[in-house]
Amino acid sequence: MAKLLAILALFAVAPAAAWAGQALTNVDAVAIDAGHGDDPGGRRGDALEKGPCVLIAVALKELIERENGPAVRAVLTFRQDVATTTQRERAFAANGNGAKVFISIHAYPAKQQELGIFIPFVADEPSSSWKNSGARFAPKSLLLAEKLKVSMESGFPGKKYFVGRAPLVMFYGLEMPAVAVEAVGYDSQPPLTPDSAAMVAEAIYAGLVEYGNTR
Amino acid sequence: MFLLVLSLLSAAPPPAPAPARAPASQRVVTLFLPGSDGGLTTQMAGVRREAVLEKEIKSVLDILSAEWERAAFAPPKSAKVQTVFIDAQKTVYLAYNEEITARHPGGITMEIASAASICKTVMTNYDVDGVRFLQKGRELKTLAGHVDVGSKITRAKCDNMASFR
Repeated sequence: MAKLLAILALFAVAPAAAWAGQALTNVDAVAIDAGHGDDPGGRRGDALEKGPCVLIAVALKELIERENGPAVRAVLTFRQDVATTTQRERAFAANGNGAKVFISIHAYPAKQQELGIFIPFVADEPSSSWKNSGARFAPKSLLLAEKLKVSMESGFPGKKYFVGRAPLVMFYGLEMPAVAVEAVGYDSQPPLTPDSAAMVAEAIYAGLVEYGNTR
Repeated sequence: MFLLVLSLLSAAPPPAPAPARAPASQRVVTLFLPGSDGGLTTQMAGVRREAVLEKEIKSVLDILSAEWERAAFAPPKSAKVQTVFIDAQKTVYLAYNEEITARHPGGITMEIASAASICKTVMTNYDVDGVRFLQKGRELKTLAGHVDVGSKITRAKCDNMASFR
């Protein structure tokens, strides 16, 4: 019995085992957005909010391609070599590539204890507004957010996530389920490395696999 | 008799000058401060009642800025509202200095809490229907790149931001 509990405990802190070798189902294109491609966002000293977001977004794209091959397209909504990618361009990249989900990666100040996974909420805008285009995907956005909450909390024991709704600009114009994840402290020490970015990407991917399996 | 009336009239005191405004009294307001979990906590404060509403709202927001220093998630206290204006549609325009964006600590949760702290404080204490943020004479789109404050923050939108989780 003790041995069984030890094995279960191992799985509790090793989420990678839950998705290793699993391809995505019911999702053939993923739009990956890195917060603050076109503005620096928060800043503490030399640490910029957008730095780790780009690292994780690229790691997630590579992971999706490695696990799924050509069956799933992973599309970055921003251009790393161009300083300005507007929200309309991001939405265009996601919609134009037929993405089935939109995941926006964000960072938070390291002292923040509880982290958010956000889904769209647009108050007072007419249903015809481009800002509201993703409203009809609200149930699927919520499902994706709940799967990511589980996978992020499993991947990073001690971190507590909540699901929230907010009028966030990165959701405007999207025609698919969408979430924004506060994934990493931008001013954490030591700074995020490619290896740790890959770990965050794995936790997000685990949630994505569960979302695809549930649909 | 006529002379008596005339003399009484002439002796009548001149019209009293408009009474001086009563000494400014204190008004108790509710401040909404970002809490450690990203939600809002309330705190009471006294502010001098002003004949000009914009001046009073500015005083309230000055107190709020000073209290941000003790809040877990907030813009720096150097983020100050410089001008307040209310239009005929009861939308209050808050012109902030650059500190509110340039030195905002960032993060989605913290940005929502910041915007909610301001709009909830104004809308709870005053009869206004909307809040808009200005900076350098232009309407702000976001405080830190995430939350849409570019369109008017109505009561419904403010309430959502105040209870987003």
